[in-house]
Amino acid sequence: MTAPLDRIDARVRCAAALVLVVVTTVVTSPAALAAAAAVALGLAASARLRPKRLAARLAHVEGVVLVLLVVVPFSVPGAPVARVLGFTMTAEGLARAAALAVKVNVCLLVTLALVGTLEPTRLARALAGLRVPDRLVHLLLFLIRYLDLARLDVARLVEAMRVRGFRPRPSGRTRRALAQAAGAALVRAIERAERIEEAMRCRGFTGRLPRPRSAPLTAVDGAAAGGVVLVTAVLMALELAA
Amino acid sequence: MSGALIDARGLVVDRGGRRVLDGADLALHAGERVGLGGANGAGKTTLLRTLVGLERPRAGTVTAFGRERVSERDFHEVRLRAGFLFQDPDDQLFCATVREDVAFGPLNRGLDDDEAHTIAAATLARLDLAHLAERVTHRLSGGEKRLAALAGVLALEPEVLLLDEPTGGLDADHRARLLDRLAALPLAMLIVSHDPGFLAALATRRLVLADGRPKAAEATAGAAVL
Repeated sequence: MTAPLDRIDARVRCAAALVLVVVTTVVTSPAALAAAAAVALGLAASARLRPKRLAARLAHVEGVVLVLLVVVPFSVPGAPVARVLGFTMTAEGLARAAALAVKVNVCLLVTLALVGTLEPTRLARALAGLRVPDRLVHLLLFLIRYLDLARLDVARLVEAMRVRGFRPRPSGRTRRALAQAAGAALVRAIERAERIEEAMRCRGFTGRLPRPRSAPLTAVDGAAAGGVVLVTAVLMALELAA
Repeated sequence: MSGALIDARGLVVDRGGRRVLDGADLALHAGERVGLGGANGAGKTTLLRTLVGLERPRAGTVTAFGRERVSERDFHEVRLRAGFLFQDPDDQLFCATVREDVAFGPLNRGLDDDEAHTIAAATLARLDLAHLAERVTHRLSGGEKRLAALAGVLALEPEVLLLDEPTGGLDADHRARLLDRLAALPLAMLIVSHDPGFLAALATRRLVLADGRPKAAEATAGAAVL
């Protein structure tokens, strides 16, 4: 089950994802984009992303990409290639649309392969290790820990309504009942948050979480970082050669 | 009374527009295990919260470990020395794994990672919970959660334990284990509980909170009052 990528430190993976995403958004030449796409596919393969789940995740974004593909060819000035319903499609527009579609998918693949496969807690630790502000890391950590409980709270509320015969109907009473349930869920979540904070203070919390120890980087991590630098250099060279 | 670890005098606390504590006195001495009963809403939890400064009284004083405590800074020290076990362990266990959660208190005391994790491992071993160390906290059973939360409190090496309904939601087996572990601890305790058998087995003195004040419970009537 362990993918080759799993041997790389989570901090290196997060930083690599950031670098590759930034480079991909900057380059425009077809050669550089093709190379970036190859790298992304390679990463996806070595992360052993399951095609089905990957497709489901990409589907969220492809709708937006589709809109871009339809709109952009008509909105960039340049050499006209065709006219559709009175709008002019340009060669430059087509090229820009294709480049955008590739960029979006490359960024997604890279992020899903490098960051999306991390255990949430490992991701939070990696971010802390990368000096991401404590508050953001805390938000992520508490979300991981308490999302489930909040979901159970809501599920209990809904069940309690159902066992008393509640069935949602398009009526004012249904809307009121649902609004009350939503309000109750919110109040419970806030009260839970307050109790958690108090429990933490009872164990000496003064506003700063202890930073977890992070493992030292290994040769594999060094090689991975070198790989990212190399890829970046190649992409930039292809871009400048164009 | 001098020499008490915690000595609260004349506490008056309002919650939600209602007077919950009204001139409450309570003293806890070394070696004592005080059981505190009382009806729902009588203010038992509020009393515990006031002792560690989560609730500020309108009147009255809290003297803990030889000093009167007023400010948040005062109470920070009290909380490190008086461990508070909450009613709902889900409020208490917030780290991903049990080991991290138990190490949280020691880390807050300024120990480094290695020391904190050594203490966490020792505390878990002392409670026979070593097997839970790497478990994810939100996937524990109710009984395991309670014991893990207790480990998190004990890792601070407190001098006093404040327990709020420690047997709530426990099955007979976990209740017996909890009773065992607590009875083996040489700490002063204040135990809020509706469980007469548990208090009878553990408490050296019984109080009942009524009309905003703790009163001595008659030994024979104890169960009936609860």
